[in-house]
Amino acid sequence: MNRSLAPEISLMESFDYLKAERLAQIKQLPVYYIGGSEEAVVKMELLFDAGYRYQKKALQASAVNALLVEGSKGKSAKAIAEFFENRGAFLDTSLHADYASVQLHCLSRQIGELLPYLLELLQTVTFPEEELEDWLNRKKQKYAINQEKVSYLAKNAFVDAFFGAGHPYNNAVNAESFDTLTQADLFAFYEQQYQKKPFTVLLSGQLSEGKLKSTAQHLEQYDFGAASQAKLTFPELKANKELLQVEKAGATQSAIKMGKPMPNKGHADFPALFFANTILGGYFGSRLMNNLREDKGYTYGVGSGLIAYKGLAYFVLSTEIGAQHTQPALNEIEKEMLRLTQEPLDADELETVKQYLQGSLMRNFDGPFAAMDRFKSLHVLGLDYDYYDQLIHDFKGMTAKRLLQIFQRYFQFNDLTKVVAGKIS
Amino acid sequence: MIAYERFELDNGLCLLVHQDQTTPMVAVNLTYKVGARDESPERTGFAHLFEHLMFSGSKNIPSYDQPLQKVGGENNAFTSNDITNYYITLPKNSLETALWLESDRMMELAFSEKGLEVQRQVVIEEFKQRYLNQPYGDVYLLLRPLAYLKHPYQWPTIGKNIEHIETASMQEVKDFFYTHYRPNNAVLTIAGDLEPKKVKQLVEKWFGDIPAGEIDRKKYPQEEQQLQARSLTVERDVPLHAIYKAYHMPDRLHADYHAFDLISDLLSRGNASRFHQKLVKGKKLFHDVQAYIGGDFDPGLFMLTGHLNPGVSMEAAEAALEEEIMLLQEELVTEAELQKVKNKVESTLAFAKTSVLNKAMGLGIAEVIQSAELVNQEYDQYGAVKREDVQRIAQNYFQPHQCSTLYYRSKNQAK
Repeated sequence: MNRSLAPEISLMESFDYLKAERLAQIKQLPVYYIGGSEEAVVKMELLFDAGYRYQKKALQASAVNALLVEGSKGKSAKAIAEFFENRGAFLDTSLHADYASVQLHCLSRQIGELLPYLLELLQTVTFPEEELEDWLNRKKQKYAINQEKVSYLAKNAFVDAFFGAGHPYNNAVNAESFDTLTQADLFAFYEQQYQKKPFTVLLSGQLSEGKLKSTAQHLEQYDFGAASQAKLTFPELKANKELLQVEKAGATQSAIKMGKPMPNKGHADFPALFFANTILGGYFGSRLMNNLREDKGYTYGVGSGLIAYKGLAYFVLSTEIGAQHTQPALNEIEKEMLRLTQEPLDADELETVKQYLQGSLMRNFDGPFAAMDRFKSLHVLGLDYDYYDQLIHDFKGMTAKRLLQIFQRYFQFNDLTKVVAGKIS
Repeated sequence: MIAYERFELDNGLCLLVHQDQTTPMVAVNLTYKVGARDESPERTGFAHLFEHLMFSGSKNIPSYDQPLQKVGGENNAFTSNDITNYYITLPKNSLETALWLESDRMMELAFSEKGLEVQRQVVIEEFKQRYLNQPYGDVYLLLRPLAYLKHPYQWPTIGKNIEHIETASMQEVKDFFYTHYRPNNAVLTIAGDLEPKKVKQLVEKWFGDIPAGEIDRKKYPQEEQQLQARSLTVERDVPLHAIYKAYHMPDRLHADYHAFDLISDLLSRGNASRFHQKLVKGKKLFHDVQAYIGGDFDPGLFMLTGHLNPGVSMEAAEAALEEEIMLLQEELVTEAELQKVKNKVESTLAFAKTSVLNKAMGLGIAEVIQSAELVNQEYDQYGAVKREDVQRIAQNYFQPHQCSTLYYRSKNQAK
């Protein structure tokens, strides 16, 4: 047996991914389901058109989302928590740029009891003053702790510089953000984005026919009006050519954050952009990881990605670098980006990334919960499964020539907004 | 119930195979029975540094990651105080590539000087990123040597200090490899839509000719019973005071292990928990406050930790934690409250079984602890915990003289 030769395997040519099915019996609400779990558990996620892009004040959307389940008519935050926890269920909320989410993880047998309770909560919110005050205090302290983290400083400064003041996607906060939010702000936002507004329901895991039916019946009783018509316009982003520095005295590492606007998902170039980003910084074998970590040992990790919101998309690159290596690391990042605009990829690297991306898609669709997360990422952008079919198709046919064009057009180091947080020498 | 077949190769490698027909992916999990507790006190952090070196090429294959990525695979690894665990997920057609890569690096590493130099730097940056350049990052560097005077749990997996990593030599790397990275010191677990007999054949093909090693089943120096309260006070540039109280608890196979886990849940899991309701909401003493267990194989620590709200004194915070302990000692927890945390465990265990990688890892690590069958007993073991167990444990274990306390003071608050 020759151990230096890789075993011959037949790579999978294609794979069938799990798709969400829209439940026909619910007329007013988009409800999607992916079954197939062998365990009798279910995840239910409710998506509201209530992301931070709609807020008038810092933290407004985030506070409403967090406090949705912290008090309702006749029910204290404690009573609500006990109701779910006694049944072994987990209720969480999370806020995103475009949408707000409420997630319930529970045993399948519990959903019939939990769902009507949850729906009632959402329609009778009280946003108790005391809960708001506690929440703001906790956020303020968390902010103080984050001020000691270079990664946070870099991220906050980047978002602020990249989007500019007043941009709907600028969610940067400062020390004063925690002092001005009132209960009235919460009700105002709730009325505008949640009250009687339709939402999307995502169900994944294991639900019997009967359970699906009763779930639908509960949802039908929710009191809906029309969807909100708020149209947002997005100001033009201005490029920042100069390196922005945030001082953090005594830091042994500097955090680097850089990025630029990119075409969004659904654009013809997006699959190639995704492929190109993977090569540069999107996986363990990326150019940046190989250079900054595996060759020079400057960092524990470096990565880049494409972030897609409904209104725009952007490329972002982050790393934490030993303080003494900061400038050399910036030079290397520039060098790697330049090299990709000059030298076409060799066949081996092209093939590696193709196979890696196919495996990665399979992994990301593996099981009903993961597959539903993929569906969600499309749905919130107003896209459908054509996006993935196109992605898979374009990945397969990707060429070095096409990538070279993409790098030249979209990955110019000078176009990046750049932030470094750390010890300024 | 996670069904599996268990095989043992002639060289002592243990193989577990779990069939899951719902997924096109395969999980390959390889656990070596070596962790930070196996290190010499003069060369701490070595097991973890070594984990990094496992990716710097093996005897016949210059790169570990590249061939794996080329067949759609992804991998990672972690080191704990007890084990080092490597795991891969990849499309099922590609399984053999994973076995080729794992067996070659079990056979012999490349031991490249460049690999050692670079990974040494990477680990130093990891040390900074996770422990030194983070607020509260050095807590376990301080607390472990306070709580453990003899047992090697007295240092964290990253090591006691950067110097130990800076001075590690190639000879030490080689010795460590041949001492611990042998087939008879490892458990390989493979889960996916596969035929166990065929998996066994493939594993024999790739791992069968790796020679067994002489494994020294060492006895770790055990702690003596702590008879006096210990404490350490430090001052740091952080915004909030913090307190860390560590009580000794028994080993992973002790009959009370699951009860300790449930006690930590009673105290702090979820917003309905005692700590959240009373200490965060009611008395508003803490920004956040947790109880948890480490899950160590040898006798470990039951931890109470919290960040104090501005203006709250360390004394008031500690008194409140001790009052909660006293309540557990004096009053039986209600059946309903105990049932609540058991219900949460039930759904957590069910969700954990929805991932093929989780299942493989769970089986493999259980086999290292004692037997893969442990994963199928967990649910009943939690269920068997009684109200009286909670009280008895609180009375026997949560005594001030068995506690080590770290007072982590904020410089800014002191001003």
